[in-house]
Amino acid sequence: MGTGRGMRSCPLSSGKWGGEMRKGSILIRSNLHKAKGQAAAIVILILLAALMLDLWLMLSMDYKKNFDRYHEKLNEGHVTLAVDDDSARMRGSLREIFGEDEDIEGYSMDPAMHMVGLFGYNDGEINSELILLEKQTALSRSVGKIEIVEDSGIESGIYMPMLYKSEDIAVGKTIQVSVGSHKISYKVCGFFNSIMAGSHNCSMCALILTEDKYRELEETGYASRSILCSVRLKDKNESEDQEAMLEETISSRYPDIRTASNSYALVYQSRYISQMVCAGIVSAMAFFILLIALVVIVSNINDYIQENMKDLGALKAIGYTGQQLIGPLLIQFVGLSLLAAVAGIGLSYCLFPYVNTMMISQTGIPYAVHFLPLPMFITLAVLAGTVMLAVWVSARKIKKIEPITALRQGVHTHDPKRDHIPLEKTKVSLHMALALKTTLSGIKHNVTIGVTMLVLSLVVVFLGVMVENVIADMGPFLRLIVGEIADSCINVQPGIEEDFLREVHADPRVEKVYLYSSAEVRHVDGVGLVATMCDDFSRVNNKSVVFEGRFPEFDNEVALAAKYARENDLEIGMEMTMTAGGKKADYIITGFTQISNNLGKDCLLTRAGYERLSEMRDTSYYLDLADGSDIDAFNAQIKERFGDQVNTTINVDATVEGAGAVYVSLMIMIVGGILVLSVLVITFVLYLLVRTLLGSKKRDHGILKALGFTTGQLILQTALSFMPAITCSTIAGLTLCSFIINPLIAVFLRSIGIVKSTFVVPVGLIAGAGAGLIVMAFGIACLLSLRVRKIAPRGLLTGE
Amino acid sequence: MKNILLKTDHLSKSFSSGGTLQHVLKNIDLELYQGDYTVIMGASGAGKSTLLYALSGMDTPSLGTITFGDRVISELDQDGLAVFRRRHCGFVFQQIYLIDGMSVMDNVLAAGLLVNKDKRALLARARDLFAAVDISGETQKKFPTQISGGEAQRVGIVRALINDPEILFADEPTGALNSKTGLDVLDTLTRFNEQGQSVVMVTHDMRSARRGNRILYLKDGSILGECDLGRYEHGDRARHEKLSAFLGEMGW
Amino acid sequence: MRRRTVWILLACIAAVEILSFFFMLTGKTDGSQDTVLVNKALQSVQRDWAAIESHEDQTGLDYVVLDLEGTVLFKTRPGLRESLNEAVMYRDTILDIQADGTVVGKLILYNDSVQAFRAWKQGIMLILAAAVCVQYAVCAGYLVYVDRIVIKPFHRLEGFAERVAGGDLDVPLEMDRQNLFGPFTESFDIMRSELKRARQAEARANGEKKELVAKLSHDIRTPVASIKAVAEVGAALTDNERVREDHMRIIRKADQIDALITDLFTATLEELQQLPVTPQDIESGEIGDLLRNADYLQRAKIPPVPACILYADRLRLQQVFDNIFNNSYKYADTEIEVMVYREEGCLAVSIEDYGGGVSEGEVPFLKEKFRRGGQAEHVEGAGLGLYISDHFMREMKGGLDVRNGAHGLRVTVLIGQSGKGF
Repeated sequence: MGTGRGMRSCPLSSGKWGGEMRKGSILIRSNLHKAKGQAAAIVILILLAALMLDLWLMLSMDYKKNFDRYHEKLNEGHVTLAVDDDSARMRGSLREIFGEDEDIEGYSMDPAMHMVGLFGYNDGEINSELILLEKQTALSRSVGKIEIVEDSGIESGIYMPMLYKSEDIAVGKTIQVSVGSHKISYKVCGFFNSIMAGSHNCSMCALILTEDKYRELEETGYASRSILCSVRLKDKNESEDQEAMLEETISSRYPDIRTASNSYALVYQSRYISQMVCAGIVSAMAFFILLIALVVIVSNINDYIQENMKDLGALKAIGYTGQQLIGPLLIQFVGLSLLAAVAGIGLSYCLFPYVNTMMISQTGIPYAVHFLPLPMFITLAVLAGTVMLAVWVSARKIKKIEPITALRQGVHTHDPKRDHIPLEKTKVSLHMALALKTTLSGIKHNVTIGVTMLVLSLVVVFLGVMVENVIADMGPFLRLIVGEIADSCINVQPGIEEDFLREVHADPRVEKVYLYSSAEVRHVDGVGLVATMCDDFSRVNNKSVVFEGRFPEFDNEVALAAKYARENDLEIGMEMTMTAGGKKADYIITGFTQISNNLGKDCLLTRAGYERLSEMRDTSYYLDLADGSDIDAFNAQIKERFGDQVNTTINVDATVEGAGAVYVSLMIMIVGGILVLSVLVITFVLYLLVRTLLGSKKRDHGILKALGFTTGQLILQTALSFMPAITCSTIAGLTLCSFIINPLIAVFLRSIGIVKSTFVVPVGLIAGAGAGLIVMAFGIACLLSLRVRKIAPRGLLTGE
Repeated sequence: MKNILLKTDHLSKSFSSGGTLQHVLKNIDLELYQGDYTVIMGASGAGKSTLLYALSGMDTPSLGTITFGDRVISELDQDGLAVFRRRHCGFVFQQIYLIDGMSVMDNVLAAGLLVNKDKRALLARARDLFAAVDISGETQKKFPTQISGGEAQRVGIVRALINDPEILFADEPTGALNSKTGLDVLDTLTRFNEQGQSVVMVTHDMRSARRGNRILYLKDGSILGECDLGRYEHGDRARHEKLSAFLGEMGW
Repeated sequence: MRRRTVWILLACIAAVEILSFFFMLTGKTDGSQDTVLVNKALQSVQRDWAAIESHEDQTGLDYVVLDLEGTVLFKTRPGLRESLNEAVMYRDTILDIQADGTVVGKLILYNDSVQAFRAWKQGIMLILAAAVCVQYAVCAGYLVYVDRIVIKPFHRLEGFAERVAGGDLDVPLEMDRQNLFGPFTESFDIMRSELKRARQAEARANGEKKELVAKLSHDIRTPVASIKAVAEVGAALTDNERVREDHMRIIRKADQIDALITDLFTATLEELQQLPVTPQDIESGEIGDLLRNADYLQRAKIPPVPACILYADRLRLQQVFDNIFNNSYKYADTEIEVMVYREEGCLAVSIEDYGGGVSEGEVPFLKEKFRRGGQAEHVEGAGLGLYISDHFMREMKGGLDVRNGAHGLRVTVLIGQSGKGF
């Protein structure tokens, strides 16, 4: 660059040098300027990705913290225990048990009533162990406080968990609660927030009654008086073990006393199932969009390099290093991405309140929206990092450019090597053949299309599976989430089993009846498990509960929850020791189960197998009734026939539907959202590709027009040239995704104990959607190719 | 009396550049005759190529009409023009304009299959034409970047003739070639003209112009003069002098 | 490029081999048994113990049931080891069969691990053989490729050097870009194109020089004018004849320089006239607008104008039309008939009123300076309009024709068509 004097004496040359120095960044600015559409695409995609990423991080990071915050605020227990005996003797021995345990930090014991019961919710029924509390008692608990979040001042009635606030359950309305099998009507006074007993997912559900109503119920004796204990532990990670131990201790001392319990770990997970599923989907979408954004960036850079090959070569020739040329690119894209990401994060805070409302209706725990720095930083870091990586990887080529080659190669955009489709021999039509030639000459485009269509195929398959299994027919979804489904479940005392069976066998409405009853057992080297017993597992409705191996057949066999087995390194064929009621026995593991109800802490035993340990305290029978039978009437009839000997009857159908309706509405929203997004994405990607293709084919199109090809024919050719890649990758993607969708869903649902998903893959629906996708892509490609119109053969004029 | 192939009436073409209209062609009244080898000459910027492209339906005139047979092609829309071009016109460009992504044979067939659906007949015609311009079977399989400029231009001629057009339009066909290969191309064109092919060629090169039997001199968008040379004979001295005199008169 | 593909291919094959060996070695080769199946076999035998004759195998395992004396009670197929000793020899599994808490018999499970091992060995051999074949094929393929891409092109290259040395640069170096010599051949091309570029650069430099001269000559005039002015002042102020003479000489020389430069600079420029007419190409469609502008009283119906390109000065033409229409308004004040038609390289615009015209004797003088017709006596005017219009039209290489028409004075403006040899 000469001396200072030289510069002064020669202003012209210094200007020129300055120009060259800036040329690198000018090139890039013109790159973005020329590719306005692409720049906009990148901004929008990154914005969306940032929006979803931030939303996901906020949901997954702070929502669970929020649970802990509330847990602390209400001084909640880590183990909640309801013991059906309100005697002084029981209080004494409980006090003794709690006092002896060094792990226990504090506890509270309050009178309550406990009974299996149900109430209507969302056109279905919520069926749970109901814990009925008196208002003042509930509010004054030292451990396991309950806070009223909405109070109307109505003096006599019921307070419901805020989770159930809905159209039918609202302040001032009257609801019916079945306690045991007695229906009682209450006026809703308000709503409360309870962490450990605020949802049917917590394995017990609290209801608060005003004093008068409480006394009234107490007098009827519909529900057994019990003690509700909330126990705080020094180490909350021990909650499951403690729960199992306490249950074990109590049941060994008082084998006849019914108990219900839950633990921090169980509640923590179960109250966030839908929120986790939602967060999972949002994160998946975020990553899909990010992936597509990266593809766009990579293709933009490839185009940039191709178009500016000469200039880049020239810059290199005058001494630019590869790094100096890549630097501005990096700054440009990362800067753009960061700006878009910040905007996206801002947008996520605009959207968060709506998502929050939706989430609160799922978790039932209040959440106040506030600024979260960590998710923001992670979002920014992830986006900046991936964009930087993508830019660097695709711009690396610049390093390899040799000035001379680059200067010469600007002329020819590509070098054909082989004639893939000689017109001379091909059987396909002229336009098809020309389109195919284009297809085969642009492998990079095909890869981009392939990736996009693979992603979209996954989306289509996911949507198809969701539509088929959740929206159209909830069965498979419910079987996965709920486990066994029949029409009715009747819990009877052991004494009347034979009579009961004789009665129902004789009833013409009953198609099938089988034992399906649960009890607590304890894995000697582990924690407590819920054992589900059946006299003959070949009769259960949901055979997919055992997804590997087989159901237990003999009394020394057990099928174990896969999640638990994995955590404890247990495999099929191994032996495990279990204990209940003071006895121990060994069982061979014959299979793995998945039931989300107990979050992967359960096992299946034959009845004989369980009876090696302990007698059954009560037995639940599942019944399938003939189509069209009135389940409620049947239940009532059985109840009437056996009276108090029947503990509960449940209309399983109705219960399940109630729970399912929530999922269906959620799913419809998700499906709709994803559909719109997919159309946007495919339009976007095609827009970019068509733009690039038309750019590089401008000369060819000019020639073809001169030779007499009409605009329509060229549009057809352009659109057709995308079709092989679109069709192949869509078909391949749909086929592949149809096979991997179930494992993939299982990965998402792993935390709730689902290891293998067995959703029906609706072949027809997916094939139809795939065809639709292809046709739509073709349509979009045609529309986008309309730019061919602007190409005039006049461009071939020699220079006048 | 020769058959009139193409006739223009007050053909004018204007381009707007920087806000002002520039009239490249002005009031051109012209008749092109069947079997003629018409050469359009003129200094660069005289509007030669514009005239060629307007005549051939590659571009629409701003004013005036062009009549082909009994059809007024200046009134056709873009697609109509495209169909007109593919059936009735053949083009040879200065930059040759073969499509790089296709083999030589495919370049020709892509044009041919547009009009002729009988692939066997088409292939036969393509092979005949290739043989006529001395392009070997092996070269037919090559790609445009792999062949020399002269070969490429001869392929360009084959492509132009594949649909048996009424008129072959050539825009400085030797402009991008060296003298020897350029001569080959000119010989090829002359040969086809002798077989009855009407040719309209734009050139500013005397050596090329000599091949024509009718020379039009274009200046500032108008036809300044016309000269009838008669059939081309190799080494015809008098013919050459006549042309020189004509061009001198035109201020060449 | 191609070499890398081969390496990747070989690496992939190697990876597949290693992986398959890994799986063969870590797979189920420990000879472990399916305890669940065994349990089923045992349990079903125990269940059926009372009527062991009717027992049926449900497990697919091979086993033999013995009572405590060693009598065979059940076997799944012949050829199994049927005594405890034999079973021990071949490592068969022996289980106790219990009924009501006491041991009542033995179950011998056939140990088939020898066969399993043999099958495993065969599997390994198969994979090995396949891998070796594939590797061999890849290597052979690569050798063929190298021969094609390196050896053969090299032979073809031999002739090139000679021809290039002989100066024949037209011979194309027909080389596949793919091969190793691609860059080598390309550098020849670059050499040639660089030469061409150098020549073009020279021509451009010459042009620029000329431009510079033109510019300089213009720049010189200003100082020369100053010199002249100073000299004139000097000449005017001095009394000394000799000094004045010197000043006059400076002035003369300055004038000379100026003239020379003017010659140089304005050699091609015509002298500016007082009313410059600068005709240019305009589209005939504009004539309609000009006529409508001129006919502000809207006495005429303006017909469509045939399309062509005209050579005219828009401003002057407007003045011509203004003049004609104004005359008509002034002298005739009737409806006006306008006709536009193409005529022999011109566009004729004929404008006629219904005022009866002028006397035939006046017609030839209408276009003359300061000439006014008989009706003009009562109307103001200088008699210059048609003279100037005629001048304008001639400047535009067109013409103006004035004569008596059928109903009145008929003025025909002939506008030249562009490019129609006038």
